[in-house]
Amino acid sequence: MPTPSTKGVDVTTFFATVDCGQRTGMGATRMTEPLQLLLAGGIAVFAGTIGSLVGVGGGLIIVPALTVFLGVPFKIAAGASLVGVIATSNVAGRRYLVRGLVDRPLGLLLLVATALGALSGGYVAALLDAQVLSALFAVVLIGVALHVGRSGDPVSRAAGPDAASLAAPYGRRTLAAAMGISTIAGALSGLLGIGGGIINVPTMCGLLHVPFRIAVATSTYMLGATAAASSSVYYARGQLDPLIAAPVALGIAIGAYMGSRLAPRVRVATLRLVFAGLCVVLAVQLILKLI
Amino acid sequence: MDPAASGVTAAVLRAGSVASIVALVGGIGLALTRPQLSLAVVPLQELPHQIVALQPGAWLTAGVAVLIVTPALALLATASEFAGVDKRSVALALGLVALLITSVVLAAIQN
Repeated sequence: MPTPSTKGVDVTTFFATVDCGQRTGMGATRMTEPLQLLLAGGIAVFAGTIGSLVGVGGGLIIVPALTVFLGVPFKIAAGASLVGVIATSNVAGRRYLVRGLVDRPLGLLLLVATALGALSGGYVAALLDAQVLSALFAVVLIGVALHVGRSGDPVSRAAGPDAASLAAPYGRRTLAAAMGISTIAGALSGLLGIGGGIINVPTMCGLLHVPFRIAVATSTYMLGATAAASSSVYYARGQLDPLIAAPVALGIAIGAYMGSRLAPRVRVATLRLVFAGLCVVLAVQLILKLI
Repeated sequence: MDPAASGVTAAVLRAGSVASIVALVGGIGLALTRPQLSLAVVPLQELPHQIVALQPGAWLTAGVAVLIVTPALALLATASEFAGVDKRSVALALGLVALLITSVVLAAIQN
């Protein structure tokens, strides 16, 4: 087994870039040092915390952060992020389910669309160059920054009363439109390694008049199967490295829990602006890497 | 809201979460405390042997595999909960499981 190489940590720069080592026979990148495990986990905790506070998934931060700051290849980072999405969904989705907040009949229906989209995205991601995916991710980050940076919670802006009961019945045409949008959410999930909740929740609230809390709960419940659909493709192609996915999965779960505990004590409006700024910084970093 | 919430799906999600967390934490702990052991990615067929040998890569691979499989098992549990209550949800849940399995098989064949 050849000895992997590792770039040393450059203490003169603010962000260290650490080479994640040689590619294994499966085409995955192997982390070479425990420090890299901890760094990836630390990034994931941060991403999970801020994502939970702002109401978006941690994948939006994890994928570019791993790519830009740790030098993880984009597709490996996306695969790891998908595992993190599954971990969050398994844990949080179960809590929502027990509380009776998940609309499973609706969730299963939309899940067909998102899973098909995710599978398509996963297959297409394997065909596309990583630079194309990075550029697409930068565009998505800018879009999210614009949404989140605006006043009010963009996800709940489309919501009706925060009731715990099922929404008013919706028509077939709106359901078809919702499934179409869910397919796009799934495709983005498979392509970029994000959860897709930032699309699913407004879709359920705006188009299907699902109360916000139920939309969040149902979306969280759906994300696990959506991410599982595409992550299995990543794994089969050797683009899902457990040595990076493991700390990411644990870190996101820890971060999401911390975020839920911190939420009552944080000024969310300020945090949204900080998050939007962070998205812009990461988008610029992704673009600079391409140049 | 949910006509068949009997707790089976929640139990499956909890079991999957606990099992994966144990494996992932164990793998990271082994990687940090016994860095001389192999961190190489482990093929699935070698997993049981490598887990017993306390190879960190095997534990991490197992944890990730359990994470990925848990949503599919939860869908099967959902199908069982909705059996006799909502045929459409049963069909959707089973169809989704078939979709997930098919995707893995197709991806493996193409490789």
